[in-house]
Amino acid sequence: MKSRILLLFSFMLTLWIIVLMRGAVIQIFPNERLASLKRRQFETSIQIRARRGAILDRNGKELAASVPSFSLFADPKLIQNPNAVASRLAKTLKMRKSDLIKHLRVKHRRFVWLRRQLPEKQMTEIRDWNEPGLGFLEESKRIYPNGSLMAQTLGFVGADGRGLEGLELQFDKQLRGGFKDVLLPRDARGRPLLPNGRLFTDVPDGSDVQLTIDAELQFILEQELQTAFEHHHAERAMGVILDPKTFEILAMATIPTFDLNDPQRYSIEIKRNRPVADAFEPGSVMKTFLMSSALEKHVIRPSSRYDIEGGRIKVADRWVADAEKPSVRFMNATEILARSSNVGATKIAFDLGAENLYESLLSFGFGQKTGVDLPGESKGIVNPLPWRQHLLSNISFGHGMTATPLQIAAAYAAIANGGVLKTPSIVKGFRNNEKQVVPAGDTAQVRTIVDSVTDNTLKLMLSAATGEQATGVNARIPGYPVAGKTGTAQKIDPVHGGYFANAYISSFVGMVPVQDPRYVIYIALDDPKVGHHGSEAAAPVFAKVAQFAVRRAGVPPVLISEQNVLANNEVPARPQPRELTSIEKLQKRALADLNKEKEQDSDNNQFPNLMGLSLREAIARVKDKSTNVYVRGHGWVARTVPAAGSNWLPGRPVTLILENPD
Amino acid sequence: MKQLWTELKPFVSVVLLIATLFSLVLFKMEVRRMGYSVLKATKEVQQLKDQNRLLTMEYARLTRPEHVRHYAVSRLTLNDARNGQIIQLTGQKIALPQ
Repeated sequence: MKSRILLLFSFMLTLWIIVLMRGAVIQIFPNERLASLKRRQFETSIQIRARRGAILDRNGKELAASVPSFSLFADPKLIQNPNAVASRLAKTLKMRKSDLIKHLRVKHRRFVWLRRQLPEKQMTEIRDWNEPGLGFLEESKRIYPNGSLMAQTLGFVGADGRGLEGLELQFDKQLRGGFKDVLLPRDARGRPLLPNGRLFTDVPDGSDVQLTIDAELQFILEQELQTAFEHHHAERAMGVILDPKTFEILAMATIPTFDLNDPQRYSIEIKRNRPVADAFEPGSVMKTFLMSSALEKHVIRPSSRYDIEGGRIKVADRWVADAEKPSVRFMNATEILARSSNVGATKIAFDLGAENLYESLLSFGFGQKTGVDLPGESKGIVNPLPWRQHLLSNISFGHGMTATPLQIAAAYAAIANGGVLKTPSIVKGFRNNEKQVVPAGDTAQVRTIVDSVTDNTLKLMLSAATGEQATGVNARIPGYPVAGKTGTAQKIDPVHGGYFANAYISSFVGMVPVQDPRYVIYIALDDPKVGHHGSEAAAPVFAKVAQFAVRRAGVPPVLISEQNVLANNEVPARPQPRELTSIEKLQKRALADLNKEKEQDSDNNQFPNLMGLSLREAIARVKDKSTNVYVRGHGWVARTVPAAGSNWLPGRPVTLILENPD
Repeated sequence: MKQLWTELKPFVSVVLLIATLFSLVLFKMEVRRMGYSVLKATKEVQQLKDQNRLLTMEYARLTRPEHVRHYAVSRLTLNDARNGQIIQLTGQKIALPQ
């Protein structure tokens, strides 16, 4: 009996030892098959997608940002009744049923996209159907809240969330961030067991990119360019605004533009960021650099006189002529710049020599990339020496070479900045997940081009170019001295060679206020059909944009004019009234009557003060003028929209906001 | 008394061992329960972040210059200031600081 017990015990012990040994083998020695079985049963893998960083303007306003969205997919094999599912989906997604059925009947595929990037509301609605075979994947959707604002510069992303154009492409690496794959244990119901709660919150999101762009200036620039584009029937319009102290790009626009939220609808031509990518013959705006070089080399002084020869001169076997026949025989260098004489510029160029002009153009940054942090920059063309006589003549007034709008603006910014050229920049910094802004780096100082004496002389000469008799008169702003230059360049015919007969690129580039420039603005209209001169097409746009910019920045006006209240409070003494003649008395009386009528009209257009009135009294006061009266709150009138005393057109809606004093 | 304690010692030891094991199990359960709470809370955080992003975009849409201008002109009957209507105060910047 005892031996049997011992035998049984030994047997059981052996069994246990075998089981324990097997357990030890499984636990200690690696086994790929068992390890994968364990992973499948007890572990779950979660991929945490990084949010694409936002693009902000210099004041932190969102220009582009990503929001969560949900993409709907189907497994056609699991869908029992494709017809019924397609009907429901077509109704919810506002899609054609036939398109959906086509996808749902592809039985040999286990995954088909039905609709990408749905909002959460639609996702919840479809998920609540509990339809087997339908599923969602969370994706990120890029939103451009300003629609078409700065479209070509910002660029856009593809369906996979990667940057395809513009800044979205240039800074894709910083914006995109990384992915985070997390392997977590899970419970019997498949829920992840969190060893650390911060796993989901510490997501490696992409950095936000803060630009130097001012969204409001950008809007005004685009608006004015659009107006000019339509008014002059131009092919396109371009503009750049630079801060000459830092060389930060404050605005950059190309018209026509496109909606960034739906970029597929537009041709590739519209998506081109032309102020950076397009180089063309700039025209007379280049005379400034001729003058700069000639002043620097002491070839001319502002008062140096030249014979304009009736506005026509023969260079080698070709004739060079002024746009308009000059009324004078002689012009000094300042007048040559102000009246944009091609003959005068040619003569100065011949005195200066090709080597000096070539060197000057290169030092101003022409013929090379500016180094701006934007993709697709063109470097323009400045032909290497030697130049023939007529090429030197052409280059002196901005033909026979090409430059981009940004190059021209940067070169003028160098003049505005005391002769120091820097690299233009569009990125101020990167904002990481902790919302700290990491600067993108100081704008590199490239070189000092001209000394301060030459620079100040040049600024004065450019100020004269916006004087009464000058081509840039339309660029003037009341209260703010402007220095700038017009340009009207013939357009190259790329197919047949030479120039188009009646196609021009009209431009104006200037700085404001000239005594301490805050803005350098370049405006160009490509092939304006109505009024093709730079003075007619581009200069007025400059004036409007510059006026908005200086007013908004709070730059005080410096010129005495009737339209400004001056900083020094020096009110000019009024002349003593003299005895009026009888005709003047009659005129004065008629004018007074007219003004009285105007005043009465204006009173009718002012919204009455209804503060403190009861609702009944207030409605009685406005019922004759508007039938659309909206009431908010209870008690007595505390506020009104429009406000008391503001301009108001009868018939417009009125909102009365009531408050109870208690 | 001493004898009683000597007799109870094994029993107390076993009770303590069992209590310790129970405590361990309870702590494990509590950790797991808190893990679920954390998971729920992180989901809420994520949802709130997403909601915040959506609201930020809505705000950006509503305050875009084009919309503000349209609203000012069409609803509030405002117009662009003309030169004569702008008064620059002495030595002060009346526009918003840049």
